[in-house]
This record gives sequence, structure tokens and C-alpha cells, in this order.
Amino acid sequence: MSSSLITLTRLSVVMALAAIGLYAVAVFGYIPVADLSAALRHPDPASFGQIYVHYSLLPRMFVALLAGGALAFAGTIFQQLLKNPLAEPSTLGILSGAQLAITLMTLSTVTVSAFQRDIAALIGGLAAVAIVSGLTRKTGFAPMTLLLCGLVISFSAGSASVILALFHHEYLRGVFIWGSGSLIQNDYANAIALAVRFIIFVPVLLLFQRPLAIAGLDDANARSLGLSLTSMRALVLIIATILTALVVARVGVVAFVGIAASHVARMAGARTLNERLLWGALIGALLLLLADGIVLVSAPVIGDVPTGTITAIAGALLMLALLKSVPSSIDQFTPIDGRNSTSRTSGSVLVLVCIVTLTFVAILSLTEQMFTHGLDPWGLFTGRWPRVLTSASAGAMLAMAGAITQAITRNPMASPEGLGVSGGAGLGIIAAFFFGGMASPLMPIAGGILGAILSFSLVLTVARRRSYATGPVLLGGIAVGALATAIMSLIVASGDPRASYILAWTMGPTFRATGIVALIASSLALIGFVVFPLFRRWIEVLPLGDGTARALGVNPRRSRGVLLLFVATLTGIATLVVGPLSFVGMMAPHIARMAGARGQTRIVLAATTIGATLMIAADWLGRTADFPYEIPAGVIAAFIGGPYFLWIIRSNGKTTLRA
Amino acid sequence: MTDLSEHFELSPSPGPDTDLGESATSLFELNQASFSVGQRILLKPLTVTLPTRNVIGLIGHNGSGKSTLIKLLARQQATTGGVISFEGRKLEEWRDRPFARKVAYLPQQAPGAPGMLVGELVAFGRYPWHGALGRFGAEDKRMVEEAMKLTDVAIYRDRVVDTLSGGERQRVWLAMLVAQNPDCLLLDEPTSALDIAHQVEVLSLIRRLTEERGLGVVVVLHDVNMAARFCDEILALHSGELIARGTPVEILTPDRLQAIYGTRMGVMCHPDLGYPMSYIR
Amino acid sequence: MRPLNTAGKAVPHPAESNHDHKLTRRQFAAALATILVPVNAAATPAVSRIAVLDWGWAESLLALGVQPTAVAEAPLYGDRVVVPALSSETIDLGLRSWPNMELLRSLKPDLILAQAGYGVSQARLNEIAPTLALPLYSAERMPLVAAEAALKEIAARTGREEAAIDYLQRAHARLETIAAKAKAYDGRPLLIIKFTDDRLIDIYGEGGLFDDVLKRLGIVNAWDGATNNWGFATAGLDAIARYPEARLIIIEPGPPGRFLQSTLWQSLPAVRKGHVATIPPTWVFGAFPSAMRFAEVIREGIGIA
Repeated sequence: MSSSLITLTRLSVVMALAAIGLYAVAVFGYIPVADLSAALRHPDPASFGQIYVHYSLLPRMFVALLAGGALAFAGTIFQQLLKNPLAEPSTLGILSGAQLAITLMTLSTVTVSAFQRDIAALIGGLAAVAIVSGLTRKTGFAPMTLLLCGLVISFSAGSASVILALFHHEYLRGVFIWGSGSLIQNDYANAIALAVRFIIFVPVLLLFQRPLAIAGLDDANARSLGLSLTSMRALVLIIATILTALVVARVGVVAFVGIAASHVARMAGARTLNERLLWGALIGALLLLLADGIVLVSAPVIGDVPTGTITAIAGALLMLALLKSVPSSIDQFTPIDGRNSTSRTSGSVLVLVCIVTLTFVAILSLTEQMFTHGLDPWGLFTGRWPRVLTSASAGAMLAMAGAITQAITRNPMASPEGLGVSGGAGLGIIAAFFFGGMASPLMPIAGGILGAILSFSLVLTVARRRSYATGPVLLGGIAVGALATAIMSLIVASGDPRASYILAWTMGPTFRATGIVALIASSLALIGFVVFPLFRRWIEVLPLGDGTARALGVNPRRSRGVLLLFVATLTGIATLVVGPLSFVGMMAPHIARMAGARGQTRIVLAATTIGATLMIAADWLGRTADFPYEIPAGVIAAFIGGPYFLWIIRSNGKTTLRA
Repeated sequence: MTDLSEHFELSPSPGPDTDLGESATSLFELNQASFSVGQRILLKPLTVTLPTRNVIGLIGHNGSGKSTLIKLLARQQATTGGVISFEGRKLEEWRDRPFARKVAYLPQQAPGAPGMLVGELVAFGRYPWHGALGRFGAEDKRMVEEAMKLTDVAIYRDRVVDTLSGGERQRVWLAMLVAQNPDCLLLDEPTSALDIAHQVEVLSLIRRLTEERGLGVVVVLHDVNMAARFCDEILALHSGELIARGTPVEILTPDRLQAIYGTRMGVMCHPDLGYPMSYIR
Repeated sequence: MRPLNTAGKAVPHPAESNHDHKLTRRQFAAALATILVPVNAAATPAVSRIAVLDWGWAESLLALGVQPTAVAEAPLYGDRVVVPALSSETIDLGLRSWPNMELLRSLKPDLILAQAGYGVSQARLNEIAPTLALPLYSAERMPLVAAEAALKEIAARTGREEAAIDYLQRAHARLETIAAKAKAYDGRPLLIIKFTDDRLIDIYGEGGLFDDVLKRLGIVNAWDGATNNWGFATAGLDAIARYPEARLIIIEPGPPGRFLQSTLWQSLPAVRKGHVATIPPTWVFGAFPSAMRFAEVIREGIGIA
């Protein structure tokens, strides 16, 4: 496997030395070398440097080691338990669940004690794991389903957190600082709390080492070896989640240490479960220490960047690098359609019904006067048509992109939001604000487009080696999305007054649409609609598998590349208007199929109108739900879309045939 | 292992019905073609010529390279060494659709066709002819009808593919290949998931297609008796190497079978039809 | 100069203020109301329906004796800016960064006040009503000057020039008085901080409103580090330790829990020497009235009469 030059011991020693070296640089910035032993043992209360080293840097070191170790340990357990190489606290939604719970607690009580924070994290984390595992249990915790499910939990919880922050961002700054994973310490309280948790939970989990090793086999094998999988899985899952949540409550969102540590350990030669658990924990501890050391030493240059942001960025890059080990095809589902073979005529009737509904919703949204008075119909219309048209165009584009993504991935849960385009657009918008200011509305649009193109090229470049197989592409998208989320957290934590403005922008402000934006969006949607027939046959042939496609003379690699580019363009533009997490791209084609649309062309047509309808309705709800405060339409759609998505996973799980 | 070089020069062995003179150029030529993944060699350099005007069976133990060989022929994988030519042109020089008009391929596991009707699936066979944008014309329609008639799937036209039984579904996929109107069919274990009656049904259909349409067929089969019953010629592979080639009568001898499958086997004659049959000793 | 007539009980005697800087928000509001609410509040303004999208301009308008018809995030204004208070009938316009445009349109305002470069662009607001988009945090990085200019401009647009002259006269006189008294101060530089949680603090420096006020009062701001567009920097506690001679001014609310009793906090040079004071919540991104309020609370905080 690995070259003999890199062994686990050597790697650990090198990492430890590097981390200690970085810490030494930081420590000796505060005290002279001669004072070191005094600072470590009996700091002189008159010397702030010694006190700081003793009460801040030293506990920080312990916290980094313990948190890294515990997260990596739990990560390896999740991976083994769910037989999924990418399972870890962040991808399972535990971190976002805990974050949402803590946010809610902060808003409901005046001051949050450490104990309350523990409890909130526990509730949030366990809830997330319960939902994710409950929904994917029937599919045998199929890797991509699990990841998508965790992603949706993260998105939903994240969008809830963000919308709370939108209205209370000054109150919630503390939560977001916690959320960005800063390891700054003031005393030993966290270090002691983490040590206690580590000492209690790690040995308890180690008791399960043998059943866990068997659980790594096929379920049937495990069962024939006399292991009651269900109860063991549930028990270990709960204990590992508790450990994670309790660690997260103290250190905040530190993502990807679990994945990184276990992969590094495996590459360096840890083979058995026992080796992977123990070496993984050690390497996780050292990784976080190393990351924190880098943060400490670079603080004078780049400012106090939270360590969690560094791990999220490093982790996202690592996930991109790991794409080659991801299964090419994402898990297959029994299709929802075709259950009842509908007659051919109902297709056009369906499209007609969709168009009528669309018109009705659009007229309602354009004319209703529930909260405002004294505006003449023309005044209403001039104010509203841009947002209605923009929402409709964005919804239509997302739906078309979603229908195509689902067709070529053969997964009814696939969503263009997962292509990394949205995350990239969000990053681009943020960059535009920071470098271009808030003066021109064109800056964020340009930034968004550039970001979308860059991130998508990145994902495609990485996925190229895998012939643009959909599994790696979607995972690359998740990685870019995680990166965007990390940077968003960082901005809210920075206390910049523009935070709420930027938050709203990345959440898809249809209310910000001007007539020009609306016209641009609608003409692009129209172009997409006109171009679509060119891809129709590819979309029909690709679902039959690469082998068949190739045998029919369709180059699967090239056609998929072109289709992905088309999807990315549609998604990128739509993201700029409705934000990165609307789920409309996933919902609309699914509703179309449920309503009886069959055959890719009709699904796309029906989905496009349904997507437009959904988005207009979401925009209207966002306008009226909390009047005069406007909730971005994308967030409303995500609120509806998240549960809908989970419901699909559930109903899919029931019918999925998996060996 | 016997030296079979003379066999290669002997071939192609004349089949029973070689009345298709124009397809004399329709053949695969392999020149030191090999395939390996990392250190593992799945197919050792192979030089051989395959005519495409009768039914050629590929047999061998699991991992012998028979599936690899057919995937190389179908351009599903590219050779890692050597050259394969079809009709005198290297495979990589063929453009996608012209090749698909000549050679149709059915993967080992026919993929699901979610929500698709039989008629629609068979119509995909016309893709190589009309392409992404071309019109689905009368000729296409006629070929699809004919293919469905030939394979007896016309009655399922409006059924959803995934609701059919295994044998019916396999026939639908074959109909798609027929609609493709190729010179040559490459089939990777088309009978592996079928019961014995359906195996016979599908193989008889393949046999009939060669006779009625003059198609050449290369088919991977794991059942040596089925190969003997339905193939004109058999190629036997072992550990990525071609170790025998010949008519069923030439291949089905106890010595050859032991070399191919590594187990002691006997051979007898079919009581009614007279072709050779093997059994485990 | 106007004496602080009725506010005697709210403003502690200078001699005691070294030890007791705390006063309730309401008491404080009452004290401030006396200097901030002008006498001639009854005069009819030329412009009657004003929609305000920025709290700084809202408080400026109130200081001129004009009640705005609508203010963005009006309920939250009461919590953050506190005084001068908005009328309870003020219409809430939605988020400051993005007000409800339709509501704004339906109110048919005579004038919209917005902060330049923040939130909705002036062009879009102009479609609804004449808009005054005034800069506060601009490239000049002098918010106090900008705030005074804005106050005058708002007054000019609303026909309250006299109220503005009167208000500014009193305000400047008050600042003079405080500045004069500040000469008695020991001259220790101030480090003005606000806790975000128990680990990170915002430190107000160059380019911020508070820094401008300190300059006006002749008090040295200890923070010489870089600040962002809005005149503050976020840092860890070690940043405080870099200024051992400074006096710490903590803007309430303080850190959660018992952090102020921790060894780390207690070992900070400024804390060891007892150079710490706490001032009541003060709107950090405000305009001229907020600056005046800050001047008053800092006067309390550092114990000059």
C-alpha cells in the first residue's frame, strides 16, 4: 500500500514536532525562554505573559489535542459503523444540529452557561443523527444517501441559523464565534471538561471494538456471526454522537478532522479497526494541534482566524483530493416514476395544469394587498413584477437543472445545489463585497458568476479523472459548499455591520431584483429552455448506463461534461437570485414525476413550470410571513424543501432494493 | 498447454452458413492487444482475427479475461497495449456513432431503464443513426418495428421495461441492439441471470438473428454446453490468454476442458442432436 | 450652558463615580433626555412624512424635534439606541439593510433618510421618494464630522435649521465643558472594548465614532492598531495586555459568566492596577446624539465631573 518511508510512528513524530515548534514560536512571543518552566508550573501573577501562557496557550494545546483526538475517534467509529468512508460529525449533520440548538438557546435565555450549551449541543446533535440514520437505515446507510441526508440536515439547520442571524446578528455574534471553531481558552475549564469526556467515552466505545470490526463486514455475514446489528449500531451511534456533541459544545464547529485523520492513518498503514481507531485518534489530535499552531503563529499576519475555519478549508480541499476513492455512481434508487404506467395523453394535460397553476400564482402574487394599502394596481405591479419574474426564472432554471441532474445521476434526490456551483457563487458574492464594496449591485453579480465558474471548474477538474462520474462531482460540490459555509461563519463572527447585508445577499434576495435583473434572468431562462432540446436525447440515453450509452455511440464522458456545464450555468445564475439552498432543483422534478409526468422531456417541461410556481409562491410567502421583514425566497423554499427531501429519502428507503 | 499458433492461421473456421460475402471485411483484428490494471494483467498480448459473420462464443473460468476481451472489442475499455482494428481501421480512429452503427454491445448487467416504455427503449437503438438532433424518421420507425417483431417484443410495446420478467427484458434489450442495425453484436453473458428456459429462448433468438439478418455475434458464455449448442466457433481463455480455438467438436474434449476449467470433465454426444456435451467427472 | 437640572439623582456625584459607574438604563435615559431633546419641539416641519432607514439619522431627526413616520427595525431601536426614544406609533420598515420597499412606497413619504453605501441604493429609493443618502462611515474615516454635517443637512431638508443650530450649540458647549474637565483627568489612554463572548473583544479605534469623540475631548485612545471600515478591531485578550498603561473602558453588557474573576483577566496589567471602568450600553454605530451620549458616559466612566 504505502511506501515504507511513511510509517505511522514517523508521521506522528513529525507532526508532533511541527506542532510543538509552532506553539513554541507563539509561546516565546509572550515570554522569554528562561521563564518557560515557571510559566508552565507556577506562573507569576505579575507577569501577564506567564499567566497567558499558563492559562490560555497551555489549555489551548490540551483542548486542541483532546478535541482532535475525540473527533477523529468518533469519526472512525462512524465510518466503521455506517461502512461509509466519508462519515464524520460534520457530514452527518451533527455539527449543524448542535449549532442550531445552541443558537436557539442563546436567543431564548439571557446568558448561556457551559452546561446549558452542553445540553443544547447534545439535543441538536442527537436529533440530527436520529434523523439522518433513521432515514438512511433502510438503504443500509448507503454512502451517498447518507451524505446527501447529512447535507440536507446541515443545509436546513444552517439556513435556520442564518435566518436567525439575519434578524439578530448582533445578539448571535457569540454563537457564530463559537460556530467558527475558535480554540482560544481563558482557563482550564474546557480542557478539564474535554479530558473527562475523553476518559469516560473512549474506553466505553473501545468495548465495542470487536462487534464493530464484524459490523464492517456485510450485514448478512455479521448476522450469521451472531451479531445483533440493529441494537449494536444504535447504541454505538448514540454514544459516539454524545461524545461528539459534548466536544463540539466546548470547541465549536471543527469539521473534517474525523475524515482527515482516519484517511491519513489509513494511508500511513493503519489497517485493522483497532489500529485505525487509536492511530486515527492520535493523528486527529496532532492534526488539530498543527492547524491551531498555524493559526497561532499566523495570527499577527492575518488576524485571529478561528481554527475551525482552517480545518474546514483544509478539509474541503482534502475531500476534493479524496474524490478518487468515492464510488463512481451514487446509490441507485427504485425510481418513483413508472409505478403506474400513465397514459400518453396525461403528459400534455399535466403540463397544461402546471401552466395554469403558474399563471394563477403569479397573478395572485402580483395583485394581493394583504399588508399594504393605498397603492394602485399599477404601483403594485411596477414594484412587484421584477421579483415575480426573477423568482419564476430562477425556479424554472433550477428545476430544469435539477431534472437533468437527476436524469444523468439516476438519483431522484440529486440536486444541482450539490454541484458546488451555489457554494462557489456565494463565495464570489462575498469576495465582491470585500473587494468591491457595496456600491454597485453589479459587483456581487459579477463576483457570483466568477465564483460559480471557478468552483465548478475546480470540481470538474478533479472529477475529470473519473470521467465526470456523478458521485465524485456531487461530493466535490459538497466540499465547496462546506468551504462557503465556513467563510460565511467567519464573516458573521467578525462583527462587520455588513454581515446582515451579505447574509441576505447569499440567501437569495428576490426582493432585491430590479427590472434589469429580472429581464436578464428571464432571458437566460428562456435561452436555457430553447437550448434544452439539443440535449434531450443525451438525457434519455445516459440513464441507461455508460456501457449502453457508449454502445449507442454517445460518448458518456463528453456528453456528461457538456450537460454538467449546462446545469452549472443554469444553477449559477439561479443561485445569484435565490441563493444557494432552495432545494427547488430537487423538489420540482420530483413533484412532476409524482404528478405523473413520464419521459425525460415531459418531466423537464412539467418540472420547469412547477419550479417557477414554487419560487413565486416562496417569494410571496417570504414577503408576507413576517411583514414588513422580508425573508429571502430561497430560505422559504429551503424550509419547505428540506423536510420534503427527507420525506423522499424515507419513502425511497422503503422501496429500495439493496443487497 | 498446447501451442495453438497454427489454430490462429487456420481460422476463421468456415461456418455452416457463410453466404454473406460482402461482410468479409467485417472483422476484428487484434495485434498484440493487451489490457492491464496497475500491476494486474487481465488480458495478455493477443493476436487474433475474429470474423463477424457467425456466432463466436468466448468461454473460460472466472477472471479468464473473456469479459475484458469483449469490452475491448466494444470500445468500452481502451487497450493498454497493442492494437485492435475493425474493418481495417483502428478502434480509436472510429468515431462514436459510425462505430455504433456497425457494432452493438450489450453489457453484462443490463441497466435499469427507469420509467421507460419498451417502445421507447428500443427506439434508442436508432440513436447512432439520427444522433442528438436528427429527426426520427420513417426509416427509423420501420427498423424499430422490425426489431420488435423479430424479437417478439412488439406486444410489450407500451409496457414499462422494469415491469417485465428477466427473459422478456433481455429480449427487449436485444431488440434495441437489432434496431441499431449493426453488422455485429457483442454480448457479455446475456444469459447469466436467466433460468434454463429463458437461456434457451435468448440464445435461440441470437442464433435466429444471425441467420435472418446475417449478423456476426461475439458472445461471452459461462456455460460450455450452451456454447457448444449455439456457437459456430469457440474461443477459450485462461488467465488472460487464448488457449484454444475451434468448433465445438474441437474444443469439447476432456483434455481441452481440463485445461480450460482446471477440473476433470468428460464429453458425450447429445442423444438427439449430436453436438458434444460435457459433464463433470 | 444648560445645567443638568432634574437629573441630579441620575448622575452620581463625581467623588463617588470612581467606584460606582453603574446607573440603570432608564435613569440614564432620563438624564440624557434633558440635554438631547430640544426646547422648540412643537414647531411644524416643512417635511412631515419622513422614513428613516438608519438609526443614526433617526436619532439625529429626533434630536431636531422631528418624529419620523417610519424607521427600519423600530422595535430594536428601543433596545439598542434607547434615547432619544421613538414614538410608539413609529412604523417598522423592516430590516435596515433591506427595508420593505412596498411598505415604503405605500407610506408615500416626503423624504427618505438612508446611509450612503449601506443597504438599498439611492437610485432605487429615489424612485419612491426624494432620498437623502448621507455618508457616515466613508473613506474620510471621520464619522463625527460626517454626523454633524448630516445633522445639518437633515435639518436643512426638514426646515429645522434653527433647531439644529440650537442643538449643535448646546452640544458643542457641552463637549467643551467635558473637554475642559478632562484636563483634570490623569491622562491615561483609554482602551474602549466590548466583549463579543468571553474570548474575543471589539476594540474601538481610529475611524470610529468613539475615537472621534475622544479626540474632541482631548483624551488619548490607547488602541493604535489597525481598524476596519467601521473603526474597530476584533482581537483576543492578549491585545489588551499590549497596553499595560491604558485604562480599560468596558461597554456593557460585559462577558458572560464569571470571566471577570478569572486569573487571566485579573492578571491583565490594567486590571491589576485597577484601571477598569464600565459604561452603560451605547450604540456604537450611531450619529451625533450617540456621540454626545458616549461623551457623557465616558465622563462618568473616567470620573471627571
